[in-house]
Amino acid sequence: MGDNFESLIIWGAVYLYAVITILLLTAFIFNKEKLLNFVVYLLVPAFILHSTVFFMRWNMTGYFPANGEYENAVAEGWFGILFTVMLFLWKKGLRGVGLVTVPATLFFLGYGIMKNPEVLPHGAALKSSWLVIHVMFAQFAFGAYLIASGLGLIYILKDNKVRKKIESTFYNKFPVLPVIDETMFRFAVFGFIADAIMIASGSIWAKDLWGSYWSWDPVEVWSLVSWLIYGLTIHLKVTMGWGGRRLAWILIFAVLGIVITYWGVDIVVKNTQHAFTVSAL
Amino acid sequence: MFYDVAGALKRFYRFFRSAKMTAIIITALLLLFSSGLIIPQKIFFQSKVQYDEWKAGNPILSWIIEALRLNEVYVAPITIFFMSLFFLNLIVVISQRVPLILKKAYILRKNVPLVDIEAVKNDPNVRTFIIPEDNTKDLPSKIKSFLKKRLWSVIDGDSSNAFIAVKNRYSPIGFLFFHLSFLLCLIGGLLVMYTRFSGELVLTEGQEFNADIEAFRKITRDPKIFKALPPVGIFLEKVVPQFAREKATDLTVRIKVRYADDVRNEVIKINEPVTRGALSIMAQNIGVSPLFVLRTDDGKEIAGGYFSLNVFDGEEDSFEFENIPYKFLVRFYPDYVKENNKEYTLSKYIKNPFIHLTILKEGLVVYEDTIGKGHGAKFDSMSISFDDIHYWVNFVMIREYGNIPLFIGFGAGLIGLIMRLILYQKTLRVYVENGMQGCRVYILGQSGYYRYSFMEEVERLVKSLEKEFAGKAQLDILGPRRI
Repeated sequence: MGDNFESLIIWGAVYLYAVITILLLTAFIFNKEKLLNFVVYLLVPAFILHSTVFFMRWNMTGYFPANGEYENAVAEGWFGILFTVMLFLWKKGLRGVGLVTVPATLFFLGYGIMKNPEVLPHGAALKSSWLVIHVMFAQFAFGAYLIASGLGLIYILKDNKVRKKIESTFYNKFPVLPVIDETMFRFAVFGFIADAIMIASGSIWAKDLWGSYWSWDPVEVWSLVSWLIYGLTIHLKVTMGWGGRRLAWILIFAVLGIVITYWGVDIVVKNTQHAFTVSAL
Repeated sequence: MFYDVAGALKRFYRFFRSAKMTAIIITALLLLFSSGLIIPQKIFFQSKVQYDEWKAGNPILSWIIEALRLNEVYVAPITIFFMSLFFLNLIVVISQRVPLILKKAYILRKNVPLVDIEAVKNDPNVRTFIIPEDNTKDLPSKIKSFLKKRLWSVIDGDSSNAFIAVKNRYSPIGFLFFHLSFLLCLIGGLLVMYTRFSGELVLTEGQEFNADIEAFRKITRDPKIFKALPPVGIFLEKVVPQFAREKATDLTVRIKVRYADDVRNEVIKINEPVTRGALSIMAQNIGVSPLFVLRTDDGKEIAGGYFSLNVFDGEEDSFEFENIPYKFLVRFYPDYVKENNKEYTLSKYIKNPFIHLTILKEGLVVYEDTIGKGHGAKFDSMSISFDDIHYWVNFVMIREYGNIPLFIGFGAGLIGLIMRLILYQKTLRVYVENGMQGCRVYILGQSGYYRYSFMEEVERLVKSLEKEFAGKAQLDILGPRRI
């Protein structure tokens, strides 16, 4: 019963995210403000369905959902949407951020469902208290970076209108550019700190599991590279005053580093220690 | 014409300590680290043979990569060079910024900036309001108390009517914490690198290890200093794995550990190593060690022993007896079943152990069949029996120093980030001007980051101050000026 019920709920969330994606794209392409407002009414039920699956999995396995592509997809998307909903509640004007987070979540869930939605046995390596800290902060960082990327996109779109002196009631509903600039930087900072905790906790866990804090594993290197990219971005903003469009463009693309770390390395590289599903122990 | 060497050095030093230089070094390191994901790295090849095969397939490319040592990019001279530059830059930046940080945190009191009254009054971002005459007694002190209640630190200037209020006063010290954390991690990392001993030790249930370096299957890291190994002994008592759908879900390894004169029973699990001082013992892999005894036709024992084989996941492994010209290939079925001439195992638990044995002599098969525990196989003029089976464990023993600076480094880095970027410093410059109809209060807010939202915070604060001291809103002659 559990499997069918979970499958029903997750597909419900997927369909809702698909509809929201279409609505968001339409809203942005045709500057339809009403559609953007309507999205909120769909996103909340979609998030409730998504949360049900997230917590059901956690309850069912007794561990934070991080075992296999499906659970990772559910958790990653969940944090992204959680931040989106929080932004909706905090600043109504920032609801357009879903333009990045919702399609990304839709893509992740689709990939996860295709791979292995069944409950997998929890490998001995994953039985550690560090798993929750490491993975939760990784997802938290990803969610924050995804929001920063979405805000970067909104900044660019709004700034284009401002530069061309085009009066748009659609874009006027978004906060003024300095507020978007500050908010995207704020999320980049949150992501950076969460990412730092993820790397440090992962390193401590690795010492107990594999015997060394750092072994230049491809996943480790990519996570370091992604963290350094955000570190460099923050450094440029804080010390050299990089903001506005430059910051927005960097944040739009920097999230790709995280996507590669979480998804790409496992697909391309076969010799990573982080492929927990491969090893017997 | 003389070249101004001192001037050039000064210019170089100025550039070296600049934010641009830090950005360049981080970018270079980013590129180098990323290149390790594209260029094949030696550590990721399973064996030297595999690496040599790759080399043979790409002779020119591999020559260039090897010449620049890009196949070991994480320890290549160019990476070490940029890492050294990074830490040098870090030290220079820290030493240069210390006085500024102490000044910013208002620790160096003699450097406390005085409130430039004219600058505050004329700043376009200043907020101002009037307090009526009957409420102006000790107004600066009252405002200070008001702010202190809201967790602002008050720093007096040279005038009793002008002062600075700071929230998160010590936030700039976060810069030091964050940057020092890299140095602590470097110290910890170097200590770990130079003192680390790591070796793999395979023990079968019932077998003992007595601090004999020769007993290690593989020494994966030899320390450069502190070479002496700790006086440790291990006796492997029992191994209990758990499986679910072919996957190991738990592992309990019971051992007796002797460390100096202290002997204790311990349990090792995955993720839960046993530690003694700087030494940690972890179980990384398990397998099976069948007992094989070789006999002549008349039953006389020629040789025998437990052989630790890698056959647990269905692979084939082999073993040989010393001075016996046969090679024995083994496949293992922990819970053997034969149905319709098909052999397989019901589970990974050792319930009904069978082995598929192939015996080779000079490359030719002389025997092939599947035998169960307690049975034997006859070949040529000999027999081999499969008498017993135990688990073996691949222990990894690591001794290293440097964990303390590493952990302090992690903690300091985190504290630094939070102090600097979340609990960022906010400053108010306050001036109370006495006038004919009362006092005019000027408040100028400044913050390290998020200036726009801070200005909103200042607006709210000013409104609270007005409410507290001016009663209902007073006519504001100058504004209030909008930010």
